[in-house]
Amino acid sequence: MSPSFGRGAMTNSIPDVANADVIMVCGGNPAENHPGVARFINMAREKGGIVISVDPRYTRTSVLSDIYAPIRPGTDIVFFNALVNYILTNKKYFEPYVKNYTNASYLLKPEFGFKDGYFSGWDDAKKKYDYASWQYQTGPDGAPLTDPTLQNPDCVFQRMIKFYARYTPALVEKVTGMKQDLFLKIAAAYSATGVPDKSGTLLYAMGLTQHTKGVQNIRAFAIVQLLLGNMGLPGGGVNAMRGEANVQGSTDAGLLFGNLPGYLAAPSAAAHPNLKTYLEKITVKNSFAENSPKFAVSLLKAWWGDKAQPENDFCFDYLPKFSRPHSFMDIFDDMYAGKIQGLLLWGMNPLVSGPNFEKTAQGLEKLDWMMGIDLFESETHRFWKRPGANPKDIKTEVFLLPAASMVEKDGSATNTSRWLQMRYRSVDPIGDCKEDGAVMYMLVQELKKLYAADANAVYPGPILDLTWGYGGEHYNADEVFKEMNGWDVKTKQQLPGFATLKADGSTTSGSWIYCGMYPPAGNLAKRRKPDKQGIGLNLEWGWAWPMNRRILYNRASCDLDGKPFSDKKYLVHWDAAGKKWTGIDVPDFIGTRAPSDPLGAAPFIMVPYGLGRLFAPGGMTSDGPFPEHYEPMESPVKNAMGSVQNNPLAVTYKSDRDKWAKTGGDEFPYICTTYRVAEHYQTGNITRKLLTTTEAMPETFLEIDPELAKAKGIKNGEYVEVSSARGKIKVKAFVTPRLQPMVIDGKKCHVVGIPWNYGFFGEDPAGLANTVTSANMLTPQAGDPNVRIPEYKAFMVNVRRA
Amino acid sequence: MARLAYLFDSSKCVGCHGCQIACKQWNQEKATRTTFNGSYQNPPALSPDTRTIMRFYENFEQDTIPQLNILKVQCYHCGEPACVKACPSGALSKTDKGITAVDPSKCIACGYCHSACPFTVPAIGKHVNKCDMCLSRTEHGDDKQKTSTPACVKTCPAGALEFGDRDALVAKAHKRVEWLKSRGHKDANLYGEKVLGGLGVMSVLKYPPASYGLPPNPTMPLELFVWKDLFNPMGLLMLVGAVGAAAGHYLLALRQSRDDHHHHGGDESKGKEEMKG
Repeated sequence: MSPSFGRGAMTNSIPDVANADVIMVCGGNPAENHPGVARFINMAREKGGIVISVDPRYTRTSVLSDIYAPIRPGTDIVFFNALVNYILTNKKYFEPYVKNYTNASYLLKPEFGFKDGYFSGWDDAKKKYDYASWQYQTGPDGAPLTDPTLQNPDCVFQRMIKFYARYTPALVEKVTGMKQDLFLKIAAAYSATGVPDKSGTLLYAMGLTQHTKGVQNIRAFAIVQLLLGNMGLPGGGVNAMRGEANVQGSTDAGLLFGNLPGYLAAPSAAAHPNLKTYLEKITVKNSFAENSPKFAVSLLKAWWGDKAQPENDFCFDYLPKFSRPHSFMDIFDDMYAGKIQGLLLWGMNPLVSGPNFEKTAQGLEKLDWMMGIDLFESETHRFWKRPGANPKDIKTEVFLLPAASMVEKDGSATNTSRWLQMRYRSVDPIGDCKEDGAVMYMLVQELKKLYAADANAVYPGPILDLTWGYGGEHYNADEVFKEMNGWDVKTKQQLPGFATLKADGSTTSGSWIYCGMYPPAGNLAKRRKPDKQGIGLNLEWGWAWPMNRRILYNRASCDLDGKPFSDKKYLVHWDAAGKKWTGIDVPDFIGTRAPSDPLGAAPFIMVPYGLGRLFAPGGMTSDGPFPEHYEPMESPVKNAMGSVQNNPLAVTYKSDRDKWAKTGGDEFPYICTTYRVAEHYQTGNITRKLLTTTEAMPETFLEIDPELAKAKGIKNGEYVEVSSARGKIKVKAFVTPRLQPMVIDGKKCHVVGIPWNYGFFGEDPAGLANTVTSANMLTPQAGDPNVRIPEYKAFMVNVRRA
Repeated sequence: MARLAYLFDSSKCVGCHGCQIACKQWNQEKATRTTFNGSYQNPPALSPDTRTIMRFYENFEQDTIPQLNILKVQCYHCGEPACVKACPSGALSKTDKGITAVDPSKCIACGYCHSACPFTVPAIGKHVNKCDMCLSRTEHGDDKQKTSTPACVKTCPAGALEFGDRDALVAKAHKRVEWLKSRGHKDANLYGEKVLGGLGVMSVLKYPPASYGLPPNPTMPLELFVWKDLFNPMGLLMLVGAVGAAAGHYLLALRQSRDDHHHHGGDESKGKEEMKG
């Protein structure tokens, strides 16, 4: 989403789903994984909304749909791109929006092109792109040249018409297995939102992201939304439903390997040798991100306090610099290669959640030590006792610290709607369990002591100089949020918002996007006033980043003059008399910038020149400025688009445990996908330890269509062996008509599916029997080149009676 | 006093099992060890440890969209409850709000209620176990504390369960059925408005009741009228008499035949599992 709109977050909110006229659920299963969303889907339907469910399986979400269409796992781009083609060919786009609020009119360099499966600039020897041609033609001031009439053959719009023409309804049927007439029915229903008084939304989750082209899947639909003018409206947007309660909060706080807090780029050794270069590179001219240096310096001030001074680059050298990506898969590949000595596992169960179970397990065996901090002992903590392992041969020393549960600690969760909500300890932790904040506090204090005591310590500054208060051992969550918001260094006053941050070291902010949540008035994430009358914005319930804006890019709901395109979809407008933007939502815009001002009609404020990107320039999406379909790493068919089978930049690894099924081979002929069930939370380390949830969904199962079951002599509820090139498991079969065989390129294909919530330790039958039933015994380590998310959702298996 | 009722809207339900688990937690019922049995449904049946379950029915005919029909199963709180009539010990009674209440201390675990119930709902362990509309909440709860609605209704994330005045819910349900018809579900119906004196748990269904394993026209067993008319005045006492023994035998036989019948009905409706006590 970031390459399309400027920010990577869900644009609208969960309650806002109720405002949609058409809801496309594709690559997500909110009824099972985000059941709270189901309520708002039901509300939207009662108001006349239409729900489209696109999924390889008829799921518990599909029950709520008006149109259901099956799709082969890993072919979403074909479906979305055909939707784009349909919108372009049938002129269903919202023209004023496309012309004024997207980069449709920008002229591309004539040398940009696409041929034989590659975009221009492909270097077959180096296996990478030269991005020089993926650029706009620019004028003397550096601004892109445009053709407002959209007629110039080099403008983005005309290039799109050419690029997308290949994605026909016939191709959809051939590649995805979705029948043409069904596709056309969906295309008609969804593109009907390309008018001012209608909005459509996409609800998605890991079904779109966990692919070797995960980022392009989202890009593909983001383009649909820009063409239909569905961004910045109530009931519109691109809405990523996060996998757990605080995923948004953790990435906001810098959890992702490529980010510092607030999505500032993590510095790299090669690109950012010093603060000056770093600040230059994160400054994006002609967008709000030209303020990035203020955010970065305030972050350094928050972390290293008075030690961070202009003379020492505000301690920029204290930040670790990466030399290559350290994503989840990279870490475990390194571990398998014996390059990692110790592992701190904080509330994580990677043996169950990571791809290629056996490679993960054997990697863990090469560690000297592992420390887990968790509610319960997990499969990962006892990897050395897993079936087939010989504890005598494993030297890893394993420690486990008992953690307090969510009801035993204070803190906050930032939900998928970007809402920060404080929550409170209701009972004291039992036994020796400690709050995560207290454990972290003590850990850092101990490190500080060790570094201080060691005269030969290597580079002790980053630890010794780290500001570290937060109420000490009696850790106080409120103190953490005070720091994340930031204060004026001189007056110690909390800051009212990120507009007041400075690059001179006079302000602090631990995460600039949270600046404004803890102004002098107090912690706004404590607010609890529900929105009973309005459209569900809930402005006084918790606090949403940025600056309590509930629907991002809401300037785009107005025309060039700042008047709403439709009263039915009203959010904000330009108050000419008061000379400011105002409305029922907080304007996601510079409050006093008039529509007639420079960039006054450029709603995507984080993007240079403020227009939504139909074309993503310069390699910001490394594998293509437009989304192109490539087959999953393992597939039953050759790529119908051309000779390039897989994403040419897909991430793969080269250990002896990275094995692959042959394309279209007989050994592993069935497509497999993985998912979760409503009854279990993630790896089940909580829910499989509790009998109440285990009772409701006790065992994993392989869902199989009745035709395949018949052919293989498999009966419902009986055991089957599922195998891939990586491993095999024995699980029960769930023969269900909710899966149906599909015809792909003239060949009958069967899709099977398995939940990944199960392992080998818990109150569930497999857990009690110490039997591995992890779906990730089967999955490969392959990833998206932009974010390195693993391809859990499409791979090949074989199935037989066990 | 106005009659209370639940409205279960199957067309909004996503079968997440939240109601089932919340019911167990509030009523402090034991979770049991189960295994996968070929369906999302678990535990397999109502039991002395389980007052409500979700049942799943999967239907598919070539070239139609698969159906995944979900039904919340529990005591239906009939307007004319056969179980109360059948109960010889006074353990089951009807409150003035229309709740079929249970007093375990009076129960002798004879199982007549199970046999008499048109849905074979009451489960017999040491004593009868069935939904009592969360009497502990609905009679003694607090609106401010939000403990005045049953646990299952309170927890439902999809908004598929509602609780309150029965007449208001009937009106709401009719609107919902009309809405479903307008969206192409020509067989949409409200189950339980009139049968058995009007059920206290009504279900909005997209398809005919048989697609959810429900008997289209449930009736109170005729035998029960005979039993009640002839022997009611004698109550418990007659259990020790010959007549009582004969009548008791008759009811137990009835229980057997009803269970058999239900099994058959389940096959017809392609149900995965049966309701059994």
